[in-house]
Amino acid sequence: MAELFTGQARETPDADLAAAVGDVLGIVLPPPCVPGVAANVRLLEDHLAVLDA
Amino acid sequence: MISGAAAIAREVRAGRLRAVALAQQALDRIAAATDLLAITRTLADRAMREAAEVDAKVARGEDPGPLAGVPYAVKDLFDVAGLATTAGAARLECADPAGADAEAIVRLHAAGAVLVGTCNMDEFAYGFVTDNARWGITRNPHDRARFAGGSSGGSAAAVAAGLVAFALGSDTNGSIRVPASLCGVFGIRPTQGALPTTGTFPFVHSFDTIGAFARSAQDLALVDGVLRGDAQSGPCDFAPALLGGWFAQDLTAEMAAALAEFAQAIGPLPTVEIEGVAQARSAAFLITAYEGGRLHAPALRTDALSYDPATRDRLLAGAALPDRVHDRAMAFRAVFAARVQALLDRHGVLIAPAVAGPAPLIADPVVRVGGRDVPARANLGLYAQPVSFVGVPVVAAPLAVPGLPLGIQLIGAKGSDRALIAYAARLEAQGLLRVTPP
Repeated sequence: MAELFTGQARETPDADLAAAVGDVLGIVLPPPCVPGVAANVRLLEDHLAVLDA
Repeated sequence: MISGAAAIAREVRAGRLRAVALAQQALDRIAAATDLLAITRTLADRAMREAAEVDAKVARGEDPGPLAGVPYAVKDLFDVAGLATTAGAARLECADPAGADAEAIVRLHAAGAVLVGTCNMDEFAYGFVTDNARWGITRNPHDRARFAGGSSGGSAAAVAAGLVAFALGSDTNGSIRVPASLCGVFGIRPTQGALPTTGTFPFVHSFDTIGAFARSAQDLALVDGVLRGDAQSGPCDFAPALLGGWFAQDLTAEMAAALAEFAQAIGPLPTVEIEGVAQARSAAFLITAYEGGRLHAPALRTDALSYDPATRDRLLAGAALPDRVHDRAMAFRAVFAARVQALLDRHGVLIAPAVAGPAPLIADPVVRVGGRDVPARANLGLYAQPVSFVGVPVVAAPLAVPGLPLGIQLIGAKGSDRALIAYAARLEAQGLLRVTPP
């Protein structure tokens, strides 16, 4: 399972990020959510990097 | 036609205008402007009933209140008794109707205002464009090919188009200031916690506020005073400064020129910078995702596909943020708030752009940040988000410029809301701020 918000999201496939988000929430994300959720995880990770800079 | 809130109330209280006629005129204007998609639901029965109450009071010689007969609308996250509060979401359209009005509506009703409709918004207030899967896109009255801004875009467009005299919205990260600026009207994000959010659909409890839109600073003061329960004006002897750095980057040429001209007219103004604005914006972004995600997590677990995809995927990702991220962002909030307060102690008011330039085209829904095109939905709040992050009041005001509207933020210390509006009124009287009809 991919680790979320550890600076690796840009190198992690969409499906793995979505699976990791689903794992946190205790669900399997519906397929239409996968690309959008992955993109948003990467965006949030970018913001976290700015905050931590 | 008399269209300002103060002027309408004066005429109704004097018995020279009838509230029922004004309510009918507002309903007619709304019916003739459905292409804007500013108003999602009209409340004809309620409006005529409230208006008749006002007229009856006038007939009996009673004071109907400072907003007597003034037609207004509310963003569809305010509870309206008997109506489902949709928050712009199809999934709530068949929710149980609200049992009572939101506290803000209760106060406006007591002041004689007449509620005529609910306004479009981004789903669950998560966006800056007012585009949702249920109702569609609210159009900018100044150019229907452009966004009205969001998330309170229906409210701003309704006021700009003259459908109503004022409207209520909410501002978590810029959702009053962005659409006010793109539609060319006044708006206020009040001091965090100053106005009642009871009976409104929440988004981010650390940042949520409600506030008003109006076509003049005087009307804004009138409505804000009713909502606040205190109509006293505040002193506004400020030594204003212009925010530079982050707030001077990525501006369009017309905004940069308009801002420079404005600063010259009231100055020359010193330019000051706040350390860590990029961090503040990112912290606000993360807190929003975390708190919004947690609010919606139970529904997302069982029914994710009932959400607008553009909202759903943001909320799902945010719901997965760990507590440590929220803690880190909140810790920075305290640091940044102290920096902002130090500048406000010195200047009283800080001036910044509300948006980078005019409203983006719906066909090209991007804004340019750091040399890259990024989605307008998430990034129109570039200059608004770092300010609301610390809970200070902000008046959004339209610069007196030709062409499409351009808005600025007048940023004050906590509790200086009334003084900020008074300051905006002074600048409006000087001709430096102006609402231009579409």
